[in-house]
Amino acid sequence: MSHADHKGTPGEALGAGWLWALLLPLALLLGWQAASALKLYPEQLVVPPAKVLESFIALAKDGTLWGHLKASLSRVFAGYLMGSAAGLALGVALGRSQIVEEYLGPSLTSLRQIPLYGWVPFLIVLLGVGDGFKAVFVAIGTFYPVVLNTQEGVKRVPEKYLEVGQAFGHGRFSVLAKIVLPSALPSVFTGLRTGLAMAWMSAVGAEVLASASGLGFLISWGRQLLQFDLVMVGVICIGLVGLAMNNLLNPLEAYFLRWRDNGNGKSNSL
Amino acid sequence: MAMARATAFDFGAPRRVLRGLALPVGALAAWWAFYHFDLATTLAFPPPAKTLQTLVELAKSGELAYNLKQSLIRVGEGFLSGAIPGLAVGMLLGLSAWARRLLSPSLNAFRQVPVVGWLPLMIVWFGIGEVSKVAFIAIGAFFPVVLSTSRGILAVPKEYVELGQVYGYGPLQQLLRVVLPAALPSILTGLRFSLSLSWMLVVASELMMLSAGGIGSMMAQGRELFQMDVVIVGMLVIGLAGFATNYSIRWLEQIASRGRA
Repeated sequence: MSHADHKGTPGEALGAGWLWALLLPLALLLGWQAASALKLYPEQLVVPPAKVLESFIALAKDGTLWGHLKASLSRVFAGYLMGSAAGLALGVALGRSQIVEEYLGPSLTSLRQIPLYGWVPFLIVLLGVGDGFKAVFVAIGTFYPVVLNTQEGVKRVPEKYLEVGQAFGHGRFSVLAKIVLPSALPSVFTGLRTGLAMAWMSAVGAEVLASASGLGFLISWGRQLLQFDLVMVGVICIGLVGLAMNNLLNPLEAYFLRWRDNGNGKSNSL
Repeated sequence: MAMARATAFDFGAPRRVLRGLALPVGALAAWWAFYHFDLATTLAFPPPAKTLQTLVELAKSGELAYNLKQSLIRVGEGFLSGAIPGLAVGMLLGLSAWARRLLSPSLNAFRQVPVVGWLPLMIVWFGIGEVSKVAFIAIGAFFPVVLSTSRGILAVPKEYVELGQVYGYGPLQQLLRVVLPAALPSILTGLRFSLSLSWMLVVASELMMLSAGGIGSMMAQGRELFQMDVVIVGMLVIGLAGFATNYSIRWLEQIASRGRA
């Protein structure tokens, strides 16, 4: 059992690590190419990689892709802003005040049992299928991870820190800004990061369900037209945006947590 | 948390309960007052009594039980076909540095595709039947289990394994008696997360694909007919069902952590 080396990171020698990392994707690509070249499956089901690349370039050139990307991103932005602002505010209140926790905690826990997509029919009846519905849906998806992690982080601030703050004569808000929030920050960032991933997933889902623009619309439209190269392009772009979003918060987190030696923002990978 | 000290003689407990109930009771009263005083009759929102009546009717006619059963079967099949490979891959990643080098980067990249992004592809490959829905749920259920299993195994203290060597355990015994028990709490957390994700995805798949029954399709029909009462009943039932399955894994987690202490 090779258990003794459990501290070894996958990319010890970074150069060799990259080669290993590329092995599986290359094998998949080769398999994909082979399956389509040998016509093992109908071409509609397994589109050749070259054709996917071709329609990717075509869509990028005529601007369709950027239009959809922009539509999706602006939905994510609107919803994420609402959801994370509400989540941060409520998370701090719940973590700091026993009374707020007693009044709101149980209701929040109950509402959280409703699976995210269970809100869709409800929101559509209330708000229609427009951008309002999508923003609120994205906001709900963002809200829960942010509120939970913020509350956890704020609650776990050691009592000693607060006493030191009071000894230095800091007032309520000063303690909040200078002691509580900084020491809760790692947990807050975990919430913001998970929230962003949820926001992206909710936006794409809402677009698949009811939309006339966005990457989610692109994949469901491509499917309806039986143009599966469009579906593949859409899925790949959605994945790339997800990957970019996961790394988006890293520099910010590294900046805010530069005073901690272990806050290097790598907490989210396998 | 105060839950731990809430005994029969804790007078703080009733106050907690009362405060916790203040918001739901207030919301319910406002909802009821809205209709009782004729503040709005044209809203797409049904009065509370009507919603309760719909709940009773759907329960009596067996419709609710049938839809819940259909969703439950999909959740069960999708969760198992995602979590079992997830456990295997997670163990492989936890135990072998080679597997980590080879698989981790690709798995991390794939994990970034939001699960709903796979759905159109599933439909292309498997049609809009049960296979698509189960495969879709399975993809979602797979990743959390991989992550928590490999992390749980990597976090097993080296001393435990050394102790196992002192006892003369072979590799299989090490795995079964030392590594897996020590990683169990983390694995169970992953399974719980994956199960609640499965509930979310079963609703998503039933909304996105026509299906024979299911709480999600019941809600989709309710939406099309502007029957908000049916939609609300659906949210209530799916929330309770998710809570029940979640709670049962939490219970297992408690047993597992007690066994360690």
